[in-house]
Amino acid sequence: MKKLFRNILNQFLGHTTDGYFRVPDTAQDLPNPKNDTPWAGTLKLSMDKFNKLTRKDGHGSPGFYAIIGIVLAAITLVEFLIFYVESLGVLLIPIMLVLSLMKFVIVVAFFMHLRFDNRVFTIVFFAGFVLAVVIAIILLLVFAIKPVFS
Amino acid sequence: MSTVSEEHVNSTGVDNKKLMMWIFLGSDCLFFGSFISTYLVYRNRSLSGPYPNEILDIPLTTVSTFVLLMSSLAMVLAVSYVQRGSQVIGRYWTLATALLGLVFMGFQVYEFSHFAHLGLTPRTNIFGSTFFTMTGFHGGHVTFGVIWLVIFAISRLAETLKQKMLIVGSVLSVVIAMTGLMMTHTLDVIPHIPSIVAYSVFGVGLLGTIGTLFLLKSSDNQNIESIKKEEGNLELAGLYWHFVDIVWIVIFTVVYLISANDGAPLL
Amino acid sequence: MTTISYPTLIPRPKEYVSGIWSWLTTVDHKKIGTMYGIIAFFWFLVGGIEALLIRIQLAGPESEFLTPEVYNQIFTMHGTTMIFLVVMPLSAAFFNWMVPLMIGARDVAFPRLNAFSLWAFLFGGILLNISWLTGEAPNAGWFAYAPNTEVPFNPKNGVTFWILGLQVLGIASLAAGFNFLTTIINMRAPGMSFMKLPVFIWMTAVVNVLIVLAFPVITVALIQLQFDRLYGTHFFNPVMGGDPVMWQHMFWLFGHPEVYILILPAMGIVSEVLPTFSKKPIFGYEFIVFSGIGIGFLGWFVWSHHMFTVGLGPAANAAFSISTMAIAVPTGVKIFNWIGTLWGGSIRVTPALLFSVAFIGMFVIGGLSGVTHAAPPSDAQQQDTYYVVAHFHYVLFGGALLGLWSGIYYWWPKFTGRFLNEKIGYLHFAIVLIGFNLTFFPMHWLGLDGMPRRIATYPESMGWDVSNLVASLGSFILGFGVLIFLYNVFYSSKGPKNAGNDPWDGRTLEWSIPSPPPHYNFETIPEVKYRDDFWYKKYPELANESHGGGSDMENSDNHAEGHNEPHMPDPSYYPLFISLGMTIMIGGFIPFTGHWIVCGLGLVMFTWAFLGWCYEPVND
Repeated sequence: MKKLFRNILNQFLGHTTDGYFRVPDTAQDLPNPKNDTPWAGTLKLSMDKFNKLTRKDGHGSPGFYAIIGIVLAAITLVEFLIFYVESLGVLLIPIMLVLSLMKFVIVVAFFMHLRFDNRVFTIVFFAGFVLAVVIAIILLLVFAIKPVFS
Repeated sequence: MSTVSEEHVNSTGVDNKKLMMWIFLGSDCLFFGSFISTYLVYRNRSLSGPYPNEILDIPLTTVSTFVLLMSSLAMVLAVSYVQRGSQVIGRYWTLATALLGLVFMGFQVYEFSHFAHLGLTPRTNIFGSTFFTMTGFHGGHVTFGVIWLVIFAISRLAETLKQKMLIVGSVLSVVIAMTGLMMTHTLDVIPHIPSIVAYSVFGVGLLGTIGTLFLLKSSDNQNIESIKKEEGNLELAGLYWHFVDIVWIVIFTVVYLISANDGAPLL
Repeated sequence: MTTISYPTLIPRPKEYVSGIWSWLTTVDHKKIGTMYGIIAFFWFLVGGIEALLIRIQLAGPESEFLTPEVYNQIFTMHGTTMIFLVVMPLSAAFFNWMVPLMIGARDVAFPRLNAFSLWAFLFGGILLNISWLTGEAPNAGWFAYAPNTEVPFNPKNGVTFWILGLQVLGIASLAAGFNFLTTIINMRAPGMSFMKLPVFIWMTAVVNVLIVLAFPVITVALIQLQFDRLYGTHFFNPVMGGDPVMWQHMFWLFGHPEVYILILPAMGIVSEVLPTFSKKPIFGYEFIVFSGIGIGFLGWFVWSHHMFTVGLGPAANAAFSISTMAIAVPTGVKIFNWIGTLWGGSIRVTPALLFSVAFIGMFVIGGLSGVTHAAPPSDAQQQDTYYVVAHFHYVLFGGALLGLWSGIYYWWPKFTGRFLNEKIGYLHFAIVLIGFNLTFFPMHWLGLDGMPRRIATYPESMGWDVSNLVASLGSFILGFGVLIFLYNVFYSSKGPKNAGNDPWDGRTLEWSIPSPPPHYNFETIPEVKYRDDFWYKKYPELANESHGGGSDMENSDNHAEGHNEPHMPDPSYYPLFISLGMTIMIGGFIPFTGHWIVCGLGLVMFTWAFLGWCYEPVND
């Protein structure tokens, strides 16, 4: 079971060398390989670029952090401006939630270094966070679904 | 701190203190989650008094959110510099983080006293109760963080007594400057102060801050073991500080952006 | 090169201190575990006396032994004491003693924090019980439902004592939770992966995750109630828009994981005792482990089953009913696995085994009454009757306490080097079992007959007198059984210290070291190859059968052969003072004349001890 999962994941991440749709990086065409996905390798490619940008050894440069800070400020500005757009109505809520989720993930992943640290930190932190969110949602549902007494 | 944890090879390879800090942060999510859930459940239930749509100041709070985000940036820069061995610059960034945190607290204090002036206290209505406890405990967390960072700067990064006194002096100057700044807005709990006095207090504080920091003139620590210990402890403070920041992100979104138009109960 | 030197009047104690000062400044998990056990047992006697007072009052109809006001205080304190000051600390005693020994560590991750938890527990219990001296003990039940706890109905300080005492105890538990989680995740012996951990350690891990996640919720609830009572907020005040049901939600969001915190350690103990006395490995290890995790996880989604009669509506009731029934499944899996462990084993009967087997029986009875609660229609009849009292006493006394007693008998040789007398042990077991069932079984039909909870007395015409009298007699038999246990402890303390390393032919690592263990636990940290690794070190031929290879360790004798003793953390007096300062500071919130001064003094002591702790030098 574990092996099956691993195989699928590897294909998605492009860890197979015989990808069907992979753009050949040699002049001559490679023979048609079997069993691959259209996006094979692209995730790995972008992750590589990203890791190089953020210095895989886990220490970002001050410039990198400054850029992240600017990104955060920009998202805050967007939130502030969107707040005043009346026509959004109820749509405001999911948009705000998504934007702040982006800020949340950026701070947690980069400023708190969770992206590059041992997986155990992610597990212990998100156990608490996800539980808090789920309980909040259940609590709101309990109060929202008003009982109807006949 | 604990010789047992230092000599024992850890099963996961991570430091005990860092692991415990992450577990603590996961636990603190539940703490703030309970306050935020209470706020959300009690939306639109105030029977009287100032309602959120009359009293919340979105532009001001956006600025304070920005300040706290920048303090997070300063924090990560401080950790980054200390990890590279640039202790002096790291120390300045730590103090900058504390300063920005103090500014954020200033905004909070202003907001609280302004609300009180407009008639909203924890006793006024349910909005007051939930709002003040939630943001109040968040502010308490920020204050604890500021104290931690300042003590860190004083104890670990300043070496001689003279330097420690200078850092204490700079922190006091910052507090004086902020008091002056708040006096210019004439908090309603104190009698009206002439602007000239308020601005001069602010100026004195500002000069004090810049002057004391300028006079510090310390050098980087050469002891490798000490550097490791410092960066470890600063990293812990960093994690705590960033967590306080993300809690504020959640509160800002949920309370100010999404719930800002709450009013009287819909009957 | 920490340059700050913190001014100290008394230097940090060295490793060789002795006497009372060594106990007050210890950071050794074994000593701390012992103190947890002794203090918890003291509170057990206090809570037991409170229980006997209740039973005397209820022995006959229309009794005037206790006034209703006093009766309310007694049952409130009985519940609060038993849950927070007895079962949780007894579990903590076992965590303290056994976690480092079973994972092959020398101590927990943060020894001073461990000591802090102990002292905070002691002072929190004292703070809670000081309320008796002021004549205003808490009187609103251990769950303190609003608006009964709000100022119009409860103007005196009793509930405030309850709130603040629980805050201190909560902080103690949280600190211990962080400590043990870090220890279990990070300090296992080399080779001990998660699936090789003893089941007790798995249950400890789940319990500490629950503690770490549930206690912040009760902290918030208590803060909200405190602010309502003292500072005029309106969290649970319906007049101003608050909702008393919200207190119930917040409390039971904590309260339900709390009951799993109470029972899982005992389940872990039973999972250790049964294999040893059946000479078989635990049946279905993975199933028991994942069931424990499942119970811990699902326990978060069942809290409103305590609120079926509050009027949440059919949708909420149905949802929580389903989740409650679902959580019975992993529990049942564990029961079958324990039976499977015993089945076909070479049984050695000892008091420890008897208590574990009784655990299974009594817990199943309690679980069955619990399942009848899971359906809202039947719960509508059972809520707030003695049927519920029967249910939770069967799971808490018949479950948690019997399991803990099993652990006491099992590990007593390891703690002290002496055996608890077997014959007295059997007598203790028999009398406790008989007394317990006499006390609580009649409560099932009393409840179904309609006898409400928390009533100071009942009229003669209800026909409840005979059953109540039987229950009261049973409670005294039960109390007598507890006294027999105390006698056993004192009787055995004079016995020879002849337990040796491994009196029960055990399976887990703690049996590989002397009894009682030396200060540093393990001479050399063991290398673990299999689950129940010690068993396969003793019987390598069994390893060949089941694992296809023996263990690599040549000599597991752990003698000191010219080795230097491993250096252990130095004792420290700061945990004692920081917890004292914190308790005084928190107690200073009770509104009496001059309380802010008391609070300030507590803050000063707390800050002094906090900074002292941070800058404490290491003795060399």
